[in-house]
Amino acid sequence: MAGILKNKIVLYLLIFIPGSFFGQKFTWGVTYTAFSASQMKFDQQYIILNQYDSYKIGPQNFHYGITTLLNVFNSGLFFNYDYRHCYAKAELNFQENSFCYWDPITQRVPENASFDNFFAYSCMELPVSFGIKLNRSRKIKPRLFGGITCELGESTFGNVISLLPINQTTDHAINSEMISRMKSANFYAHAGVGAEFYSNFVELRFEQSISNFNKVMDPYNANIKSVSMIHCVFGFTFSQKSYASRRFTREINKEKYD
Amino acid sequence: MIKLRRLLLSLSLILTFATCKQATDDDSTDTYSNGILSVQTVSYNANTYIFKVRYFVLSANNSNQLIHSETGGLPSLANFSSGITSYTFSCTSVSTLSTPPSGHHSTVLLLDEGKDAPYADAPLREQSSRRFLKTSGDDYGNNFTLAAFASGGLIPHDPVSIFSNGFITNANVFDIPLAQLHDTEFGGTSPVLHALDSIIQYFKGNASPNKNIVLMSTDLDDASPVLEDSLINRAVRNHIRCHIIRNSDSESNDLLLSKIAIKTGGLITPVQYLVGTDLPILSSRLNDILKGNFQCFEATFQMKANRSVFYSGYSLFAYLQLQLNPGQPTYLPFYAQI
Repeated sequence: MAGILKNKIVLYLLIFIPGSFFGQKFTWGVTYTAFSASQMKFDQQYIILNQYDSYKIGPQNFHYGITTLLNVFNSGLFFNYDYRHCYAKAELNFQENSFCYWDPITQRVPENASFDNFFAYSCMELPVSFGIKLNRSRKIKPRLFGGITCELGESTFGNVISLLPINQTTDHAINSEMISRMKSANFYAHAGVGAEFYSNFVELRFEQSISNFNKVMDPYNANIKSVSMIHCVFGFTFSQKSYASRRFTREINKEKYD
Repeated sequence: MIKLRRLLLSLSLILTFATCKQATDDDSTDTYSNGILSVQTVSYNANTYIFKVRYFVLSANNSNQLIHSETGGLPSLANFSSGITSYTFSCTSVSTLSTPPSGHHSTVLLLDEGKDAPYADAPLREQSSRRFLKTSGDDYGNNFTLAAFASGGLIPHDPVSIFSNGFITNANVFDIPLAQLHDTEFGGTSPVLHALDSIIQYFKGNASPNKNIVLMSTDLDDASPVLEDSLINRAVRNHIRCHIIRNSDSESNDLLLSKIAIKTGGLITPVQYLVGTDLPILSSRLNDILKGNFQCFEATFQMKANRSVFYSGYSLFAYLQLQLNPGQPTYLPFYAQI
């Protein structure tokens, strides 16, 4: 199922992106996630590692923070296609996310300043959204949207985009082991609200995992149950309309005034 | 020609020195796990008692296998006097042999979670328990269970709680209970004998010819209403070996524990939780020790007294001394009885 969906999304992006360069209502730009909150839920309270060790999982609530290069990072390109009140948008984002587990000695969630107890993974995100613009006549256009996000994980892209400063060898080994238990392609359903201002936008997006994250379900160990994320995304448009669109508008205007 | 010979001699001396230095460096970083496997009476008369002690010294540098016999030197026992009787010991021989094969084992791993079990030891105890259970589980044919005891606290059943429904072969079942035991700080006293006695009763339905209890003891027993001799008799009658891994950092009754271990045919080994290097070695080889055909040393000792003291029923409690690290002798408690 995941493989078919992944192929469809990649195929869609391949068709959508070049096609939209020649479309009439095409815009593209960059996205930056300014605020991010994430939550990973496990089905057991303890993770047992291959080195016969165990870690207690901390409180499974949302872990949030202002995104920086060292903390949680999510940024990339978007390609937008407008059609009347509706629009379709594809994105290509790099994402770095981290989830914390308890320090077994101090029995508490580590301070944000220390990254030693963070389980971090980096991936490429390919969200495809479909939405409607609620009031096109105003300068600020509210919008509702939903879609599917495909996440291609660290095992696919290696450590090239790993940004967390994991210093200790043991912690790195633990992170690697946890990442090795995850599938390399995961899927989310996302939905949200946003507002558009001169083709730039801000969105509040909720993402919920819809695929099984675990390569193998172990009934005697902690498996990832679900991952939820909330992103506050800013999009900055570089091109308002495509060359074809501008030429078409000029010709219409010329006909109108002639 | 002479110059060339001198040059070669100098080179060979330098190389020899460098090799020796390298060997010394390697030895100084080695870590060991050691224990007493059995004590057997060979012969005795009124003034002389000859007995054999089987012991092992596993080395991390030697892939957790037995060290070479010359590394640790000859084991020794300290001479002592008691009243007007003085005793002298001499080690007459040390040989390497294999213990008799015992086949696959049925084992209860019994953890002491009493109030005096230092909480800082919990991670090491948990990892080592898991390592032993997983190596036993990977070895098809063994079955085992996990039990823990502490009077009061959060251990649900008194005097001992068993964390599976009977003997099982899948060690993964104990992953979460071990993590929970690690995570919880228990209170109460440690009724070691009471817990051991309950586990011996629990073994009654088990038909395995190789029945073992591995006790990780950390505490003095000051609460059990059970007599040690009746417990030992019950274990011997049911062919159950009681192996004791005792915490040498805390105060414990070495005489009592070594008596239980040796008389039931089990091993006794002191582990240093604060150092933390010996328990991982032991736990990786414990499955092999329980199955038998395990390489060990056998030292023969001659004990002499200046008076006629040796008779049937005579018992001895002493510490075998090994020189594994220079200036730091290792002491292994053992119990012998004629």
